[in-house]
Amino acid sequence: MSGPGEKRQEARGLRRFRPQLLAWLALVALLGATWGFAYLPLGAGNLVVALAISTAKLLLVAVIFMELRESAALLRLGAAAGFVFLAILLVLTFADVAVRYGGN
Amino acid sequence: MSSATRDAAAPPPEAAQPDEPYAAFDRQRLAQSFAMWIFLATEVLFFGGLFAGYAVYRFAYTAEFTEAARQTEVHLGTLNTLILLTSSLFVALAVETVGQPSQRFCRWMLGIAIALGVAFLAVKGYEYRVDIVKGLVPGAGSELAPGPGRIFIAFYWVMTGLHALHVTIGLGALAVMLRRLIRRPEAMRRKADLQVAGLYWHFVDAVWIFLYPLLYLVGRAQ
Repeated sequence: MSGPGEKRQEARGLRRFRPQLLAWLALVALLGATWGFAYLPLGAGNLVVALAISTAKLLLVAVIFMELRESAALLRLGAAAGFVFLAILLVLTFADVAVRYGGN
Repeated sequence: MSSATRDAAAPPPEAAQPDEPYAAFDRQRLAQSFAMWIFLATEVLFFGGLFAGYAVYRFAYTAEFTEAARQTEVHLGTLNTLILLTSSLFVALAVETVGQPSQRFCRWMLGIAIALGVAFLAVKGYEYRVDIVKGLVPGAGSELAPGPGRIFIAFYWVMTGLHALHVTIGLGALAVMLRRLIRRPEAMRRKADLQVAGLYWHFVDAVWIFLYPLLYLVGRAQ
């Protein structure tokens, strides 16, 4: 199977590790952002920002570290399946809770 | 090396054939990775249940949760996030270089990743001790007012404890991979053992990426 991974293995020195190193730098920067934003008074926005940044970090880990970028469609489907089931769990749970306790 | 060259090079006895029932190494690698992703999907639901429970109680008792959550050790939590992100980098570097003629770099990357994982557990253990001394516990000896605040702390202990258990299992898997790299380098070159252990480790990192803001960064703006 050829692809970006194959081409990268021919690169010299640090260039072959560029995706991983850049991903790590982005992750550390996002960690700083999460931490920093937590101290700003944004009300409900704090949670939204935190989850959005966490999602971005998750995508970086999944696509670059876990190599979904270079993976066969079968693996990407397997990964997506886990999140589809998680979405079902969360959406149905929250729909129930919001209707029951929303009136409080 | 491309996967074709990797398979065509003269194989020593230990790596001459893929394992049963695979006809070719690339089939075995695909099956190994697929199996791990399926397992990780179940793990997503495993932790997902705890996250859903946390969300429901936080939605119901927002003020008490916020009050209790402010007492977590944000500096230790942030340090641990940095440690885990960096260990994932080193695992990724190891996976990237397992196919090299000399796997020395790969073994070093894996060794550093394991050391960082152990550091994570050390920081967590120290943090648990600080939490206990502060009375940040759900039950007997709690310094928190009785009520929903203690539910938050219960979630904190269960979620981080379960995560720490996964970190320990991941470290065991990585250590086994390091041993295999030393004893059976050719088999490790052809199969996806290291990649699969790496997937598990990155998953453990990903869970922590979500645990961190939900347990450590609540109510910090007040």
